[in-house]
Amino acid sequence: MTDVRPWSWKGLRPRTGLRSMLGTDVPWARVDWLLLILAGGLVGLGLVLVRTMADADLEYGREGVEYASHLKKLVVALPFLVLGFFLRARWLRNNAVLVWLICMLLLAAVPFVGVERNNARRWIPLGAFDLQPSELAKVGLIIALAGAFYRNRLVTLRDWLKPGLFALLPMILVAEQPDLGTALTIVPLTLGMGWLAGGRAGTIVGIVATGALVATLAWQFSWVEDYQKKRIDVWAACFDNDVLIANRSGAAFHTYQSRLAIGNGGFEGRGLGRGVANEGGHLPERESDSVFAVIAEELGYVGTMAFVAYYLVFALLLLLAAAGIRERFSRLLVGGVGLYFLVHFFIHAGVNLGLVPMTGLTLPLISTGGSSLLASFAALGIAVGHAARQEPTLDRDAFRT
Amino acid sequence: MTWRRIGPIVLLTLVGAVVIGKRLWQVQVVEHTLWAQQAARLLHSGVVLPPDRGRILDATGAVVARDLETYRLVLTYREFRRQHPLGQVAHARSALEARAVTLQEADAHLLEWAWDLLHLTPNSLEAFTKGEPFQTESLQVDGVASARDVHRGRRASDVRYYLRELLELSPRQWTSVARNVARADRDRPYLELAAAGLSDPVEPWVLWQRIERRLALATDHLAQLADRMESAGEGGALGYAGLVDELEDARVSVEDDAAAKLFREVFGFEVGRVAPATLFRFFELEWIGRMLAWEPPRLVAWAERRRSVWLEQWLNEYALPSVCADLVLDPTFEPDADDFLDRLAVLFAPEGSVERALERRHFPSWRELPAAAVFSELDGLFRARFPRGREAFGRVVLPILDPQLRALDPPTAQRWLLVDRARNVLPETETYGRELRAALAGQRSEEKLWRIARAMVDDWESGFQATLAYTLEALVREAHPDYELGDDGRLLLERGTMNDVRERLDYFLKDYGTRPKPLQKRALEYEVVHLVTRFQRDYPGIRAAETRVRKYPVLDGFEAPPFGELLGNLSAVGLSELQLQRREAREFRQLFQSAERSREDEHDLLRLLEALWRHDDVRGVAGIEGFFDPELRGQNGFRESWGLKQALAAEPGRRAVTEPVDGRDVHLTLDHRVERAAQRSLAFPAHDPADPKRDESWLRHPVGAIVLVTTDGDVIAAASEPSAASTVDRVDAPPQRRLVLERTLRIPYFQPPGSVFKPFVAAWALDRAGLDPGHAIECTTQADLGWAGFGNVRCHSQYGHGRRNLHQAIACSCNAYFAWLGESLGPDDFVQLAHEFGFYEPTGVRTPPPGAEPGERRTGLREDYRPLLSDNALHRALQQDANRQRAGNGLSVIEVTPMQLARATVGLATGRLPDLRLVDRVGETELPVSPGRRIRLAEQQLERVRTAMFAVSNSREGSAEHALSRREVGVDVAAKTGSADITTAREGAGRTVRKHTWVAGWLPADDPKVTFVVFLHDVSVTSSHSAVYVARQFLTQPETVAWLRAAGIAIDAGFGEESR
Repeated sequence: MTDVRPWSWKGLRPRTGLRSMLGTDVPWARVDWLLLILAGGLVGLGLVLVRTMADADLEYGREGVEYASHLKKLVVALPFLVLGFFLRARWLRNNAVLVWLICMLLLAAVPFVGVERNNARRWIPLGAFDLQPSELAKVGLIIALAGAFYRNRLVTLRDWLKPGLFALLPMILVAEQPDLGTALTIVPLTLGMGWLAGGRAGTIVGIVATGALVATLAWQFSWVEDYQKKRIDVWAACFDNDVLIANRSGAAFHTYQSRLAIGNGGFEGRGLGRGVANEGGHLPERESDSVFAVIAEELGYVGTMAFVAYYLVFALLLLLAAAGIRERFSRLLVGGVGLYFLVHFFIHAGVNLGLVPMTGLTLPLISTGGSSLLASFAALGIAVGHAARQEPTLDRDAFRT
Repeated sequence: MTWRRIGPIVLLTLVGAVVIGKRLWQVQVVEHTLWAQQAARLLHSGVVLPPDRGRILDATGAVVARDLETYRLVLTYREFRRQHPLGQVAHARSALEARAVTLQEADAHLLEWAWDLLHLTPNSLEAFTKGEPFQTESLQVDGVASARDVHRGRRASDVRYYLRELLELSPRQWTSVARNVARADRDRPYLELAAAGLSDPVEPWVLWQRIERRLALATDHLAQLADRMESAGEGGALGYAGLVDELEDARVSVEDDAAAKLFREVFGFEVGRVAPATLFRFFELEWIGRMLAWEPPRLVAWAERRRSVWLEQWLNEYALPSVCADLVLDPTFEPDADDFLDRLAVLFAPEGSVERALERRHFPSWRELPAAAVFSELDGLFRARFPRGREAFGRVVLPILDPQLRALDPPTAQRWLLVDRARNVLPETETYGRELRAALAGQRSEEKLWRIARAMVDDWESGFQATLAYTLEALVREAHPDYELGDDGRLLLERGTMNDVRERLDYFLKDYGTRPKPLQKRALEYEVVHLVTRFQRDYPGIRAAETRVRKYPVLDGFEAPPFGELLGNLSAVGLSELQLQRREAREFRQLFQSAERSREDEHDLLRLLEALWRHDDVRGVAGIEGFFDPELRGQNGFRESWGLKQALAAEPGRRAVTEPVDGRDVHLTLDHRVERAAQRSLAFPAHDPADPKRDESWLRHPVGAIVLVTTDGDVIAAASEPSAASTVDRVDAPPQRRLVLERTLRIPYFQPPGSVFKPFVAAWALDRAGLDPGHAIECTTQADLGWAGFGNVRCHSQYGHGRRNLHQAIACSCNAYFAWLGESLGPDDFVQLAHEFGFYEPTGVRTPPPGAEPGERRTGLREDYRPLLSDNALHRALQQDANRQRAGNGLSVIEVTPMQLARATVGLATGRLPDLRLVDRVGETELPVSPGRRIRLAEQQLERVRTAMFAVSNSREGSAEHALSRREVGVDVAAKTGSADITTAREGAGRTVRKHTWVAGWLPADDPKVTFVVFLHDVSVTSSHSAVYVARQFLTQPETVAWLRAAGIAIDAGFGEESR
């Protein structure tokens, strides 16, 4: 058997061990600084918001948001940005399944070692902070899907099987926790990456239609839990403001508080730290799952639309960066990260606006929450690093043209 | 990757952005007003501005009733907790100990615990947050495995807040101190850190001295407040300990209410619906305790209190009476067994059914009740699921849910059997059903209805609790121990039920904590009000709220407010009134909360404001207060304020929707001075020392009434005894003496007029029966009577008056003559003469003022004007000679009130029967003086009677001559005495017959200007030996004489002086 040595760029010696994993040979000029600056802006906005929330909590004598804690989480998450940035595409591609498996193991460990809060078991205590494996699993899934689609042209329906399994397992595991938000994220993320990998529109529409059919049947035949049905019922009913207001102390408490904060913002907004969300302090998870409502209240319609545009431009730039990458794995990976931010944004904003049933989902880079920051920083680092490095490949671009 | 792949995603993103933008536009711009106002509701408040109730003034202009603006203490517990050191220390300690440390405990250890708190260090609190063991000088807290489960972080945050408040640091100063803490300083106490971090740093002991002084002052201030309230004297002593107790009660109430609300939101039913034993056996409730820092006994006490509140206050006092109200109150409703069961079933229907039924005034059929309360929520509440179709594991939760019973449709005659079957008693045994049928038929027996309803509800409730416990036990048995039961074998809640509980609890705590609660129900003295308003900073959360009380001043010479029972009183609005207005109240709330109000909405708001009762409203329910309530009440004003501090505007908007309209004054015809004379004459009756016949017992415990009425119908005095000023031993006194009643308009006891009725019989007989006034009757001893008399009637003179004509018979009040005359008249004569002189009709005092709604029903000024016997019955009774003989003497079958007699006497004196007036003017509107009704008897005949009545008080044989002659009262009086037996026993053998004694007359005799009636209840001597003296006493009182003179009546000199 021929001794096949790892491919080496510019004839340098083969990389093994850590060197095969991390590459410092970054063409700095090709780094998409704009992306990083935009991301920095989002992190900065998050810092400002968390600071105003912490000040309000302090002033009104509430336990709640701690600015120092958010800073600490940022500091902890930052190395993952750097780590992601220097991760080599080849290593990641070769170890995609391993990364996914590690994430799945962590997810699977949650029922045994996780702690339960508010009837949900999602967190693994790590001393300094509690790790939420479902956040990492999303990044792991992106890597695994990129690996799965790398040699997979998605020509037949069977080609969807392996990526489907990659997606289904974390969905099942997080659904058990339960974590509807994460489960909801995985579906569009998988389908989106499938589309980027060359999946046929008809197939994707078929999958979506099948999913809708299954959901309808589940609803009709009461395969879903009562509390889930109730949640959907409440969500549907709360498009009517009178119903929402009538249920404001009960099942629609969170939806009501979100809608109240957003609506109270009006056209011009209440100003930083000056909304009912901060002063009343009743908006649940305002520093994480409801941060969009705080932004909308404090910045108003004009400011929020600017923020929406900003965030979407940031996510689309990631997709554009992906489009510019020749190497298929990196392209899919960076595209997947772009989708990751897009999907999070739309579900997060949709939940806060009442367009999507209430579920807890952070807004990456802005919301506080250690696992979320860690995952989004890592994803961003991977995306920016891969976009800059663009490791050459012999693989043919499989995208249909 | 080409645009073919990216493009659709970009397109989808743009579509998503448009959707987000459109939705944002909808919520933020289109619906902004709604949500801004919802946000503002946090501080949106509506204040009903109560009007001043109109005053009541007497004829002299003296105010006899008025509203007094006063204050009461209210407590906003949240403010107290956050700003008063007692609250800060107690709650900080609660957070550390995870138990409800009471204010009393905190008060006992205030300095010690404050010192402990201030010597906490950042590191010690950090360790506390992590669940590590924790120790201070006076406290040892064990470590916990999961700090998050017991909310250590949150509790530490609370402690930091109270520390900051104790140290009096602003948020910015605190942040600065917290941020500047170097790592090395994290083991330094907060006291030291704060002392060093002040803008003007001081030594820690200096700061502690300041805090120590402040703590001492804080408790001193409270003690001072308690002392002032104590010295104010109303309602008994309170004391410092009492005040702290009340503060603690408020705290318990706030926390209880918030926990109960949270429970209801999470579980879907009231905590009180379930017996505490069942609750703690099957439900995991400790999370409530952990969040509120309650120890287990506090949690149990809460559950027991809520159960008691639910059973007593909700079920028995509110829900049951409310749903059954129309069964007894609505005369047009003829309820049957199904109606009864419908009303009881709704009490056991899922949460909110009672309110909905009352609001819609419709009770759904008991046969269609889908499920019982609590049971309707159980499936889906727990992780353990009920086997399909086995919601109660085979048991029937309530009899009315039994399909067999529901299918029963007995014929009408046996319909009430349903009630028995529904009560779970032996089938076919008719017990409650029959009783209920009787209770709801014809004259409904409210008492019996309540008894049956309560018994049934009790039965159902005990069955319900037993079935609930059985069901949960069965569910636990079938549940999977690993996934569906907790470690302690209790049912785990379904996922999702506990969403946002922390935020919701905070919300409820804030909501209930900011609702002002009356701290002291009694009115406050000025100095207390001054204390809490002038030194507001010293009394955080405590303020003096304006309120109004009705005052009835005690005028000069009175020992109690004048016109006591006649003025009546006020009462809080009853449940039934509030119930009847539920729909309107809801409409009002919706309008009040609506985002934007049109002009029509504003108009509706005002209309409802005017029409709606508030739960703390009072209304007149008796006497003049009651009858003239619509005029006196005025109209509530309303002021609402919008705004969220710092959030919506620099200054919160405040606008008055409407100003209150004060009630109108009511001016009485009554004169308090004459009233005083009448009251004095009744309370301290004089007797002629020369008269040996006296009723000492009555003189000691007088009961009676005096009325003075002008011939125009204006009532000048209407006194009753006993009055509020009477000081009698209520236990030993005769029964009527124990009753403080308005007696001039009422017939509280059998009340025949006796001989004062004779002049009316005489006038009628002269005019309508052709009585020859010269015809004489022999009043002499009758063998069968063993006494002088006629027929069945004995004369008051044992040996008779001899031969007497009409004039003489009236003068000496000969019973024999009038027995003969009565027998001579037909039954119709009595019925008609009674009507002619207005004995069977209202006197006119209840005539509504001009502008009153036609047909409006008014309460108050209750007047008895129907005879005990109806006209027909009277007619039948008078078919008998004996009864007519008695009726001729005003006995047995005729009953009158003093006011009716006074009015009839005016009719006799003037030939016109006026409508009586107690009120001269309402506001600026005069109440019309009625011209009255002409007495349809010949003036000549009336004059004959008048002449005879003059003789009663002026001729030697007149029965009142010795007390009411000009010599005695200084003016010519025409009068008639009367003594009406109120028992059938015969006099003699040392036995005296109890009687009412009367005097009715007018003066001056030849030019009637006023009439008077004196009525003495239950006397053993005749009017000539009792009532005439009281009449003389009254007519010669200085106030009476002064009034009579002022009215143009010439009273001889020497009368009306104090010496008489």
